[in-house]
Amino acid sequence: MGAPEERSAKLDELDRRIRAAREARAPTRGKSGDKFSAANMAWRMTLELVVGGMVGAAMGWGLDELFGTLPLFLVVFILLGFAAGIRTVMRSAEEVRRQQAAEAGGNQASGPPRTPARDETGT
Amino acid sequence: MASSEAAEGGLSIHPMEQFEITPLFGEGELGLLTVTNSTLWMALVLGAVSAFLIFGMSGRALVPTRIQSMAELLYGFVRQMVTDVLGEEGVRFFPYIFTLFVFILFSNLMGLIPYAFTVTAHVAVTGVLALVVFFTVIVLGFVRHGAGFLKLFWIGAAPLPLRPIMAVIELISFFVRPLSHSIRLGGNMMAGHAVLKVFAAFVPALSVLGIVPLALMVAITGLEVLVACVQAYIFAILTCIYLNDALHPAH
Repeated sequence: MGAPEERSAKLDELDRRIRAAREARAPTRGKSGDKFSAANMAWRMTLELVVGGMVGAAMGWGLDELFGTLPLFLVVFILLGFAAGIRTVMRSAEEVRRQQAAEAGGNQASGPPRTPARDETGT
Repeated sequence: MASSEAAEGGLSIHPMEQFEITPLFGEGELGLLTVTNSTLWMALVLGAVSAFLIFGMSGRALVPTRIQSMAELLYGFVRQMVTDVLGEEGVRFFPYIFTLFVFILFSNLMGLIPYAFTVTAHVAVTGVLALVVFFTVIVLGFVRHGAGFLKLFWIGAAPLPLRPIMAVIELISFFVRPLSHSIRLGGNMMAGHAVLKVFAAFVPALSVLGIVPLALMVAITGLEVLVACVQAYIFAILTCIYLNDALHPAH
């Protein structure tokens, strides 16, 4: 009679050990190359800022070619492109902040760290 | 190559020559379907990827061989990345992202072989890769959210007179991503290879002292291996992030 209970106790024990092993392995990810990824983030934002102006200039130039009003749209769209670049950079920064918050939360709760951040953006 | 040029006289550096696209068979103009060195290296990359994954996994051993465990590590790494960013529902995109990652990784790394042609150093190639991501995001956004996807450009929180201006700004920032996505990869690869070439030209020009740039070249090659891997990773993870934004567009 005691055999199934004993077995389930054994399975629970095994389950616990597997979970412990998984948790022990989980936080080792993503810690290496922290500095390098910070530099990458900086590059990414710089590039986004510059590319924003470039896209704006290209759009303005195209519109000017279309309507024959050369300096007008170019000037306006370079400024708008710059604003768009700043907006993209701010969005990237927000993303980094969310990721860091999720990582900090994930280390404490050791649950799926991404879900709270996703709910926040989804609503 | 650099040594023969330097012998002819003075220091001559052609760092961009390696990126030239030439037809593989005979001379003539480059058409749409001309087989070029770029085509050759893309085919070689695909062959190497196929050989690595198919032959690596063909044993399906419980205790993996070296190649099999490398293939499994690669698979597990990308799988983890996709589920980290996209969640469980993102697993549908895993084959696509894995393909992107492996193709970019292999062409970056194979480009580091001397005399090799780096496919990903061309913005034309990375641009197409980024455009595919871009159109996937658009299609996915419209399929998932219908016309509501356009709310991305119409900021409800802004005051009404400002909204058209905000819409233009949002539209521009929507195009920033594919462009920066492709320039980052192409620019990184091109810059690294150009720097290597410049240092290579210094070696024969400095005769005995040439050992200094030679040592630097070894170091830079090591750095380039790191950059090759990191850029493939960044391209893949940014693809995940963009897809995630298409799935959950509200900011």
